[in-house]
Amino acid sequence: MKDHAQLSEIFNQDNDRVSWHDETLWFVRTKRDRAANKFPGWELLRDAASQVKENVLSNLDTYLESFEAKAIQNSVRVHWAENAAEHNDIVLSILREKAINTMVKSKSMLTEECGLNDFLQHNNIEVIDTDLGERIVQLRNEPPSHIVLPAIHLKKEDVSDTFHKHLNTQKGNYDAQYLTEAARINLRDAFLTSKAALTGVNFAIAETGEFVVCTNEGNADMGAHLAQVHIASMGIEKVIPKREHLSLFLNLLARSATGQLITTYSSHFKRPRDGQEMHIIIVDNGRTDQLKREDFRNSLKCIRCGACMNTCPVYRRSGGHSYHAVVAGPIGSILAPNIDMDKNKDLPFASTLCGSCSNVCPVKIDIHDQLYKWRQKIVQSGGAPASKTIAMQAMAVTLSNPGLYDAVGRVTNLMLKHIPLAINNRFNPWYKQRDIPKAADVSFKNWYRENRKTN
Amino acid sequence: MGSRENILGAIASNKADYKPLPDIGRLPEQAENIVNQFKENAIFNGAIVLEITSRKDITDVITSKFAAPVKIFDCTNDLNPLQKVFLQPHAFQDIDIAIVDGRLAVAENGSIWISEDQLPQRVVPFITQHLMLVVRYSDILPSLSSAYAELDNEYGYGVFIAGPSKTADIEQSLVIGAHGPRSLSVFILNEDQ
Repeated sequence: MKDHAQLSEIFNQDNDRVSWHDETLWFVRTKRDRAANKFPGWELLRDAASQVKENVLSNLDTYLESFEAKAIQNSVRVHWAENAAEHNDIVLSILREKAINTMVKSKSMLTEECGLNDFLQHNNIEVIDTDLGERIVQLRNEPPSHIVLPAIHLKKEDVSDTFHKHLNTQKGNYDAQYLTEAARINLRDAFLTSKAALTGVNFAIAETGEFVVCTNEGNADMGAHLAQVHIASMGIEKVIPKREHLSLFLNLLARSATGQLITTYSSHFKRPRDGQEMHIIIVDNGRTDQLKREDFRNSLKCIRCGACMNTCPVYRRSGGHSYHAVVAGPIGSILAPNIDMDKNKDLPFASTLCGSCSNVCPVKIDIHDQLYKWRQKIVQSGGAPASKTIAMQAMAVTLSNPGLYDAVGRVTNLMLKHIPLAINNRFNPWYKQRDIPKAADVSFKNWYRENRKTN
Repeated sequence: MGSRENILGAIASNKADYKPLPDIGRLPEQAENIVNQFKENAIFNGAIVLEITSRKDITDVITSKFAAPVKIFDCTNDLNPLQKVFLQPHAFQDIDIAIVDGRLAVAENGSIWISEDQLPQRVVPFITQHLMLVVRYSDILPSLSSAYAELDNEYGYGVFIAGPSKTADIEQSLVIGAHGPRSLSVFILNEDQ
């Protein structure tokens, strides 16, 4: 399997696209800054939200029990799934019981994590993603590349080709308005005919048993309010204590994600409507393992705003698919090793550790610290590539031995001066996208020795 | 043991030491000029905002903006208990304009709360081509925090709506009218004037 660096190279073959990707996400980041700076007491808000989430992680079982009890009182059916397979089986059994073979789905990273679409398709159930970005990548048979902007890796020409193929739009019509309208008409039909709808959950309220789903398109509501069966899938960490705490999270979520003041729709589902069935599936799938790891526990505070991706200099220039994980970017790089450290051992290294992710995180997750801690764990368990291990050992020997350090310095200088090709060549990974600096005429040590004598 | 017990058990043995909830009562909010702040923010969200002194003004706006015939469903007027029983959600798929009373409005983000008590079906504010929300001048509150303090807990479904349905999923180009309404008009009703 290709690692992050190799996959980034593929993304970096198209220079113009990388620049566009980089600038567009940076623009989203600046919109976030404007929204945050205009909000009085933004930092107090982040502090409070972070503390609420820490309280949740210290009392999660009680909150989930309370949430479940209230939801049952509200005539909602509650299911528990320890892993992805159990989650998918529950969804399938709900649909089978009603003999339903088509389901509309709004954005849910959890169902991506569980591989629900593939599973249901193998069981002859059609799943239609209804978020425009997710619909685009679904038609292209690709995973989303960003948790908030699923099709940000694509240009309008790509979308136009995809829609021409699947929705019969005009070839070569690249107008976003035209393409969106085509998807609207196509998906409205799906909403009107589908008997089941699945949504994610942004926040679940322990105090009342209600859950909140945030969208801009209105697709979660179109699906849920027209379907006979509404299934909502949530990770265990989505619960918050009280309804009043939504005032913190709804203020933070959209401002951090896109610079909006709030998403267009913040829908509070408490009871099924008359004649409707409502199900909630509470999923663990590795989260209780993360809870156990003190160093990484805080990653469960994440509210999936994507701000850490938009600000990350590595994400912006390598694209979401280079992370080969359901959640890309800095937060994904600390979540993925929890599920499978060996398979994701490259991801904590896909960072400059500049700390920008931690600075924008609305719930103050120490993302860059956790990236650094994962690196230590991975290297200690022998997960670093041999070339890196040998280089590090050679470096350690050289740096702890002044005589050797001087000798290596002199030789390197001579080589740079007389045979630069020995270093500036494609076998040296450092040389990729960089030039080796010119060698100085005299080393600092010698310069100091000379000048100290004369003055 | 079932999955429920396994998950709750794993949480109980793995969770962090108890940390108390913060006091969130003291977060700053803008108290002055909240009506203006609401209007500005609703416009930022993409809504059309109009101050009116009587509900009759809504009809005038519709006649001036939409060429007849338009199919209007006025939840503030047409709604009676019988309709809730007989009208299935799919019955609303052809409406052009829905008019709904908002329970309250939030200045800090320009959103309006509606709950299902004001609707014949939950889908109405989404399936309609254009949405018109009416909110009383005196129901504009400064913040989400004050809104939650004001809202009762009785609704089975409720939603904050901030602007028309929108997407920027194609190259970050903003398109109004994704799956829901293609426009949102907000009427601030001030009958005292």
